[in-house]
Amino acid sequence: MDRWARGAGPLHQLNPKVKVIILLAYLIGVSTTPSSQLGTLAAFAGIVFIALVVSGLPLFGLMLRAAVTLPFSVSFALLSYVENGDGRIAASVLLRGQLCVLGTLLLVATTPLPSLLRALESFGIPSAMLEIAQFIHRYLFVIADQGQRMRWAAASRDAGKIITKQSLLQRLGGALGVLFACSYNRAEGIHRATLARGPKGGFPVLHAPPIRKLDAFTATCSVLTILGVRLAAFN
Amino acid sequence: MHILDGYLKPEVWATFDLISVPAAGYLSTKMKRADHDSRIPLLGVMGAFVFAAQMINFPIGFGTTGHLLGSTLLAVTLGPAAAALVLAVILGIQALVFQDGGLLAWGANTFNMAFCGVAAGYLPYYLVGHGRLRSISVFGGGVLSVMTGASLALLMLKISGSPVTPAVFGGSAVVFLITGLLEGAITVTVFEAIERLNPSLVETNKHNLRVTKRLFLGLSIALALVGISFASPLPDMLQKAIETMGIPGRQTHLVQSPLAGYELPDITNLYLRKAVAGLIGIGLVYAACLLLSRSVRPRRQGAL
Repeated sequence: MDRWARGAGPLHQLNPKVKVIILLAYLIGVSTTPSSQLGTLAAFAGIVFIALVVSGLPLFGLMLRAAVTLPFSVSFALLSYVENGDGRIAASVLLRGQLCVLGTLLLVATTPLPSLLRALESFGIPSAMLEIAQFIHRYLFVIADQGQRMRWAAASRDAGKIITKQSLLQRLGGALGVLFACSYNRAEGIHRATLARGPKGGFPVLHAPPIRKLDAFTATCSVLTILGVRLAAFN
Repeated sequence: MHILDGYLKPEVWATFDLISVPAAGYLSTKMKRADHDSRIPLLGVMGAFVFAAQMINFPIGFGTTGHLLGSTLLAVTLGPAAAALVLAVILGIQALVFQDGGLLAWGANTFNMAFCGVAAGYLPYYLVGHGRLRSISVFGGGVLSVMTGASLALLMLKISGSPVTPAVFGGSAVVFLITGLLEGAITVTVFEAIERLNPSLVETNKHNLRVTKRLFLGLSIALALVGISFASPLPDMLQKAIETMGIPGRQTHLVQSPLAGYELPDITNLYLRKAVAGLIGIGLVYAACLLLSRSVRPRRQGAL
């Protein structure tokens, strides 16, 4: 995902703020469409498909990524079919969920997380939450790697066989407890390092890209199109 | 259980966004204030820990795997407010990057898992977590947090007109119970391991409530649980069973309350009516609990 976000397609160049606005308009449009209006949803599918093609991202990879939610959506659509006996409603339940996933995916796949967080900051999301998100993004793989190393260490100690009398649960609990304590110590180290760098510490402020004329134009057109699609009765 | 975008009615997700966004904002300003700045890296790294812990799956039999969800663990180590904030951020990242949950449904998911889930997970520890029942309270918290978050999610889907039939609800309840028991078991083993490693990492529970107060709080929680069960579709089955057994019309209302029979007048859909009335009921019970706890707190601090 990070690799996709570093690309240079036309959607990557768009101002992150503009992209967030368009995505919100799109999500609200899709999720307020009633199940009976399959045509409107099909039009939204067309919009997101055009955006996918324009973005220049690998289409198959994105679709595969969006398919993660399919087990949930398909079982829900099936349930709805059993309950209502109407294939159209079931189809629109499935379509609505997947369209929302694809739209969100498109934003994240064309925007690096730091610039996305900065865009969110200008929408008034508290800085504490964004800083926590930054820390999670930075340390997620560090800590996951540490967990992986602990697993290897455990595997080399007992050669894949359970040689202690502890249950699986106890061993897991112990491992997670160690990981927890390590993470805690790491956090303290980070805080000390931040203090050492200066009184404020925190994240360096990057220059937020200005909203160009092209950005404003794209935003207006997209939001108007979404509004038009939503309001036009496609039945 | 994460709700995806597109499954909730606009009224529902909008309402919970309106609740969760200011609440998360309040928590972050509280965290930023005073000398809490040092906690921001801690919360971030602990959030990363929760993500990493969720990646470590372990076999639970029948070909399925389970993993730690972490809300109770965070609540008893970092404190409930910090835990709720970290989980709210985690839910945001999951919605954006991992296609788990949705951007518009963030408010609903945060309400279910970060706010109510953490509250339910912390409650047993708050009540009886300082004595011999410490481990049991952590275990119970794990079970409760999963059950609360998941049943609230089902309820929201149901209000939104999703086909959550009593059969579906019953089936999911069993799954949630198993998940919850596992969560409780892992949480308690991790908790004990952390305590052995470094007792200072565990938030010491100084809430030495008196027995009467404990009973009082316990009672209000029991009331809240009754409220949830009234709002859930399960009593529909109960009612049906009563009707088929031929004992209808036995109930009498001693007091004609505005929510009598847990049904509101002008809403046509029966399920919807019950669910909405039930939710309002929960809200009232919750407000009552909040007031109770507020009235209990100052005296306790005075005693310390």
